[in-house]
Amino acid sequence: MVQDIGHLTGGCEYVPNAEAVVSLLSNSPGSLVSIWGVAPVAPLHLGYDSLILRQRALVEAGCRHIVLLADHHAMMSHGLSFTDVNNRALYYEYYLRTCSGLKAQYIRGSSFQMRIDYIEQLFSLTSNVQLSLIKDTIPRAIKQSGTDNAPCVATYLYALMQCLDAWYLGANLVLAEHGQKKIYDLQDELRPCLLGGAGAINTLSKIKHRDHQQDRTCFMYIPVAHDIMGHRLSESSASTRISIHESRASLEAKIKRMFAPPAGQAASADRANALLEYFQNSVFPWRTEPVEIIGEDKRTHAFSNYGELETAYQSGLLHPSECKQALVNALWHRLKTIQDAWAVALTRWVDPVRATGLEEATGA
Amino acid sequence: MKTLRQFGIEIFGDQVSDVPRRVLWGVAPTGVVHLGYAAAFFVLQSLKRLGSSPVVLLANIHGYWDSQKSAWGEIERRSANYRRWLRLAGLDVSVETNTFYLTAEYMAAIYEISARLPLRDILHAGRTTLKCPPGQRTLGEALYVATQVLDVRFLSVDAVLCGQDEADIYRFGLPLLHTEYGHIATGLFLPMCPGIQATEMHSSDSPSNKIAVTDSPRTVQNKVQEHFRQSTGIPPLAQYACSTLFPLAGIDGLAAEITSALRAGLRDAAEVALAQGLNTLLKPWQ
Repeated sequence: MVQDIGHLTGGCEYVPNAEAVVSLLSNSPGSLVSIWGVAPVAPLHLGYDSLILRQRALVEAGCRHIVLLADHHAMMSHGLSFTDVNNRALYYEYYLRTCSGLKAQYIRGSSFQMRIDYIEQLFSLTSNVQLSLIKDTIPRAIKQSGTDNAPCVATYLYALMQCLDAWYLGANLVLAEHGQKKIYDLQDELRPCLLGGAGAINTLSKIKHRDHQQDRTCFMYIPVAHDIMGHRLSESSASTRISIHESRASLEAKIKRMFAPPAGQAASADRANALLEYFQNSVFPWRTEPVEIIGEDKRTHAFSNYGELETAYQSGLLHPSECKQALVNALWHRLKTIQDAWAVALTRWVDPVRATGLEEATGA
Repeated sequence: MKTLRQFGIEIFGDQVSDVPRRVLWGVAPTGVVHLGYAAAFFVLQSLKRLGSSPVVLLANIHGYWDSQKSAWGEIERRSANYRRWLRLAGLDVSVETNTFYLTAEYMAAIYEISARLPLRDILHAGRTTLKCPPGQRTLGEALYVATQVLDVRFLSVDAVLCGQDEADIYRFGLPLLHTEYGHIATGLFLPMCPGIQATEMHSSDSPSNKIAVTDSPRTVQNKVQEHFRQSTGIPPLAQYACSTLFPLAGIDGLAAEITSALRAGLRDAAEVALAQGLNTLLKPWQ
């Protein structure tokens, strides 16, 4: 049984509805196969934290979780070579698995998107879905890419593949950012075609298509995260996100600029308190030791969880500037650990004595 | 290749050599083989005699993507017919799309080229061949056109033969292949065969508009008669046969005979000569 559904599902938008998703999680988490897909394109940043935390909670609840590293999508959308994408996929997997502790099954798109039964199902979908339907799912930014603001064939193929991937891998719960909702809404349109092909053997390849459970796939859309200026991450740039590759100096500079209205000064409807959000998603879930902050009363206060900090902040006990200093310390501790582990992970198998010939020189 | 122009064939793009090493001709098994294919047969046979290797592509998966939505089983049945009919034309099917479209290598090529093809441009290029109205088009139709471009590179050909109805696909695609991949290929665009009733003849047309290769001599005669009845001036099918088909087939004398008869106002004689000429060409299938 999932003990704390609220923690896992709070703030999310659900398809078909919250009850279906909560029921899946509450009653039979062991039979639940969840999936999150990410195209390994850009360097990672802490904006992924809320997504990663939800996925860790799903795994802890007993779900079988798949992380789909969409390498083909990365190639198609960004024109990257297979070698480039392979390196980035390795980077993503290492960060998620080792640095973030996400115990999932990591699958590359290239490992199954070339299979005959996948290709046949994809061809079948392309013949049954009108372009006008797919066009509505494409984010505005992508619609404007390509030559003369014209989207490429890949963009449309990408949308169908995203829906097919979850089906093909047998997922009954898809975890995604809210911006992906329009694409996954396509699955309802594709479902008759997918069900019609399930188990079919009357195909050119003569290979029986996968026959999954007939239940409708559920979708859990994670609340939008924000950048250091309190704006939606979808509108952010590298200069307003906190990369896992920050130096202490660049981290301090970004946090100094961070949007953090003091207590009593409400953030606007379209702007979040970035300071509090980073404590909530990027500090407390990643450490066991309390966070110490000097309060307005000149005393050092230790906070064991985000709730305590938020209460203190909203009461006026904590000033943004002191909180920012604490955030720098907490995040730098985390980022340094990641960066140090990165170097070790790549070279752990190397025996420096043997590699440098020191063994021979000393006659050891 | 330049001599092909005298038969009304358009030569597009750069030429690797005067005689292409490998020339691609693709056909989707959507209906029956008809007279409209005959000019392609003769061009391929001529190029073959000059040392070229025809690559005859049976586009059976395109038959599925076509908006007529043929079932897979139906495709196999039609494919068998097309193989037989093409063999009678002296052409063996070199490759079928179902043998390589489902391979990892080809899919990788589709994924890769799809990022270089603006959807709007590929649909515009295929507008004369796609069946669905613009507002109802599917991604399958875009892939239909995209793979026609991709196949030129994937099959390593340096020329592609097709009717003028598909010429815009290669007018768009061949320069793209050159720019993006350095692949040079020439387009050889055949004039369209007129239909009995409509402007053009297509395999998906009703039987009354096309002359199928399996039509009996009597049926061919009747259809030519109907064509002449519906036409004023020089019947388009006669014009096409005299300027393209019969010269390609090497029966120039008959072309001259028909032309003379029409100039002299002897339509009945021209009609009979045309039917006889067509039946001569179709004899291997009849």
